[in-house]
Amino acid sequence: FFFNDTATTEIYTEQIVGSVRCVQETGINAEYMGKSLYTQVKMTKGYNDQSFAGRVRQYVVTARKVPKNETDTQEMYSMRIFARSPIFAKSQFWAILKKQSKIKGSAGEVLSVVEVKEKNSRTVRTYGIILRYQSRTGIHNIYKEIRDVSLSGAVSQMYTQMSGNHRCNLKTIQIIKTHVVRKSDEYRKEANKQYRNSKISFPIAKSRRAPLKKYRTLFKAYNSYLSLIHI
Amino acid sequence: MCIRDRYQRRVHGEELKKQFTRKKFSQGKMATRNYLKIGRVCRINYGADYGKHVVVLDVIDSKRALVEGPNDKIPRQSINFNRLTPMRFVAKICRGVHTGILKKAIEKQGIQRDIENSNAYKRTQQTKLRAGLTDFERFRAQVLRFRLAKQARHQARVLSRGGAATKKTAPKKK
Repeated sequence: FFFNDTATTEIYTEQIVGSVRCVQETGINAEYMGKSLYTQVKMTKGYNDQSFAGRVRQYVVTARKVPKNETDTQEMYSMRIFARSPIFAKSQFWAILKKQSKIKGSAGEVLSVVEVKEKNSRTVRTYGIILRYQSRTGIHNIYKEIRDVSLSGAVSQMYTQMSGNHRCNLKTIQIIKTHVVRKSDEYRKEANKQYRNSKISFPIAKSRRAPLKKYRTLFKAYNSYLSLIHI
Repeated sequence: MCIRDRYQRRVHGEELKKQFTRKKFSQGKMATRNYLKIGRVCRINYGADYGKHVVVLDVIDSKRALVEGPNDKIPRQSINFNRLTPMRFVAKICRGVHTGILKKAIEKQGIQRDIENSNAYKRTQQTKLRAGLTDFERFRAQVLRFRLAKQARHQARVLSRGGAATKKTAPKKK
């Protein structure tokens, strides 16, 4: 018995199409619908995930090539890395190590990733950072002086500045050296010297805004220029 | 539109302009600012620590200051200038002093007392009080307010008729 009926085929196709549509609508979690991939990843990982904070941390990554057997000893390599989270630190570590030696991440093992926390974040310091970055036309060295309370804070600022001024992101920047600028003649940027004054005194603009983000409104009853006057 | 209407419109427009010009400038009052300096007591005007007071210990850069508020349990941190409202008083401290020395200085110089006597602080306390009133307390406050207003109206009438104002102590208003 050979049943060859076009009507049946049509119904069959219709049913398939219908079922695909149903899967499309109900298969995904409703919360993720219409959101960008970045937001979806953020939702999955949790908003408090380290890697989403713009802030860069300092890590010391130690690794070596996987030893072939028990008696084999391999040289350990330790590097100071600035990254957003330990995962990025490891990744950056291998990227740099691969250029310097013959060891690849797949052939190596990470022995430790330790975050270096700022010993004293209660005083303000000027950090001098020497770095190398790749621009669209070449590779350049740059020196930046940044005032901050911690080194990782200064480096975070540096990345933001570099991306804003030179359009380069984390991957194209390599930090060569960081140091603390202590004496006034060591300062290379005049702008930072003005903060060394203990008699510093200046007015600030009054910010007339709602005390919390949730009290923000779109329309306000006062003129904007009046809000800048501090009385 | 006749000439008279146009004239009336212009006059009205000028009146409106007068209404909406920057009164504070035209009154000739100079805006006295409290400059940000080391030791300046500031009120935080944004965020989780809204309403609390800190002392400026150092200036980090063009946008941030290093502050600490031991009385309000605010740990030493960097804070944006936008979040600070400088107050009238300055604590005499050196740049970046230790917490202990800061605490002593605040106590010795009576900074907390100055804060509590400030209008902003008093207003926040009153706001808090009013927010916590029960309906009966609000009714009671209303009754007293009306009573006070009645007395004030009475006094005004007596004065306008040329009589002497009688000194009557108003009931204590909450």
